[in-house]
Amino acid sequence: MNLLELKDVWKLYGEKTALSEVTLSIEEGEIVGLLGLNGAGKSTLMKIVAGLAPLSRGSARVGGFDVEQEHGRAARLVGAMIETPAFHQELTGWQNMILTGLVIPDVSKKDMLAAIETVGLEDQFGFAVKKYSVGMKQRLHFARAILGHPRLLLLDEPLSGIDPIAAKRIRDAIIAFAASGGAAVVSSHVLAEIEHFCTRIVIIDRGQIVLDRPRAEVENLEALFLDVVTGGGKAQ
Amino acid sequence: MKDILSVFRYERYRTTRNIVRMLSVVLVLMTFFGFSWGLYDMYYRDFYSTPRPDPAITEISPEQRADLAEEYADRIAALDQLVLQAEMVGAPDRVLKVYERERAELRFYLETGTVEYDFLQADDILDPTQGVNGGSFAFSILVALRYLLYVYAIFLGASSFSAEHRSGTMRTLVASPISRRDIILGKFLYLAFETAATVFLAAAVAVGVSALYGIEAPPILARTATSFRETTAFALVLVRFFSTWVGMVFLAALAATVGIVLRSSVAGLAIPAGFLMVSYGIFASIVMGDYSFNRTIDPERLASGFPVIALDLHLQGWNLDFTVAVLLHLAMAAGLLWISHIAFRRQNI
Repeated sequence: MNLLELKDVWKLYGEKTALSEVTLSIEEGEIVGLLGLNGAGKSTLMKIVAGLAPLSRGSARVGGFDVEQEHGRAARLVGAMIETPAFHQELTGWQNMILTGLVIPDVSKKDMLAAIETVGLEDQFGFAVKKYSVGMKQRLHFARAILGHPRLLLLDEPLSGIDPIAAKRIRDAIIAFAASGGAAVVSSHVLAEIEHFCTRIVIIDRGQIVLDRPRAEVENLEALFLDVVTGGGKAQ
Repeated sequence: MKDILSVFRYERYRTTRNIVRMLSVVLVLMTFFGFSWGLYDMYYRDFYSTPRPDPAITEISPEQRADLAEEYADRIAALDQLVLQAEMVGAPDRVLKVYERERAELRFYLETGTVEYDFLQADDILDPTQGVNGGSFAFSILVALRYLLYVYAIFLGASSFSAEHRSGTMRTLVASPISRRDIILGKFLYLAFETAATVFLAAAVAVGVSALYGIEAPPILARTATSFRETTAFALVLVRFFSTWVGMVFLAALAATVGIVLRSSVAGLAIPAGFLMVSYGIFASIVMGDYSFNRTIDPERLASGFPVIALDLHLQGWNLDFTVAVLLHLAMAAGLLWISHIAFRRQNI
């Protein structure tokens, strides 16, 4: 079953075209590595799916629900960590989780504790977020994204600034999430990270998808990426 | 409705645990007595005694007397008119006595160069025959405190959207299953609730403090364009409570709307605050200009043309004019809510 289905998606910011002719389907169990240079359109694509940026043209559906017309139903299936972690700095990690839980239906305290345990923040969630390190904020960001039992995770640089042990925890959590019938879109500039656990590679360049290939068919991701973004997509 | 209430709870949780808000409340409480008493004192002394002799100067020279005669001439002329007007509309004797007493005091001072007695004492201000009394203290505190309450409302409104945009937390809220329309409605609902709770707290404290001066609340006289109306201070407290709340709702809605449209906390704070200050400035300059020269303008009538001030300057109890002013302000707040919805529904977050 397709969890995400984008058809001829366009996104314009004024005169600037951020995305054009993007068509993409993601099925249950997939972990899609979304690669691209800065400003290629990775975050914009995620924002459209999460309902943060309205489409200019085309359609985007999550679990069969239109992300704009049926935002509530579509958003229940999506967990997102997009751009830099944003929190209410004066509040504790736990209070930030409660705030998120207030606007997501059917989230219990048990769910929140489980999410915090997943990222290994049990000992720090009582501290104000402003005292957190970059890595801790990133982990809390991930914990917040998995609240509410989503089916599709949108993860923008999920391992950025995280120590190796925490990174492994999060990687394992993503793999387990996909194995249980979910799907994840993971963007990163660290190609080795993507290579490590993604099942599919999608490269986006200047707002267009220029490569979409199973991970198993990619021998050297770095060479492929450089070839695609600097060679005009010849590798496709 | 469930989603709107979810946003309401989110907003309440976010705001009540925000240190800035707590500091604001502490600030309001700290300034409560000093600021409100000071304004109360200044307002009523100026209102009922301008211009009055300085009781510290018990003797004046003929030259000084000539200068003062010029200065007091306007007030004495005004008092002549007020006495005439009071007689025409059949105002109670108490009103005539207040005006005649002040006129006599000024004349006595000009003729003799001495103060007959010290009428700037607090006892005078609290004397029922002076038009203001101890029972009106609660009303006076609310009058004085309204500026702080307005500032608080602007702060609340500005932080409800633009602060979340700035911190990036708006992304989490918008990406949740709650629709943007319900986010707007939930946040505006919270603004209405929070402003009501704050003004209720202020009114409760004000009434409590006024009890120190006696709760019997003798009648006070409100001068209108055409007549004098006898009412009680506590009746005015109810009107003041409501008018302050409606003013706060309007200003919070304005700050929130500016915050949504411009996505800037500074603009969300500065534009409503600037609007308020400019309105009061224009209003005051017209009234004071008129007060100095001819006194043909009724301040209350003039105020009806100014947003927020129309609510502020209402001293006649709950009547048709006040109802219209309240409905107009609530309609403007609803209009701002609609503008916010239009701006927010397809905004890139």
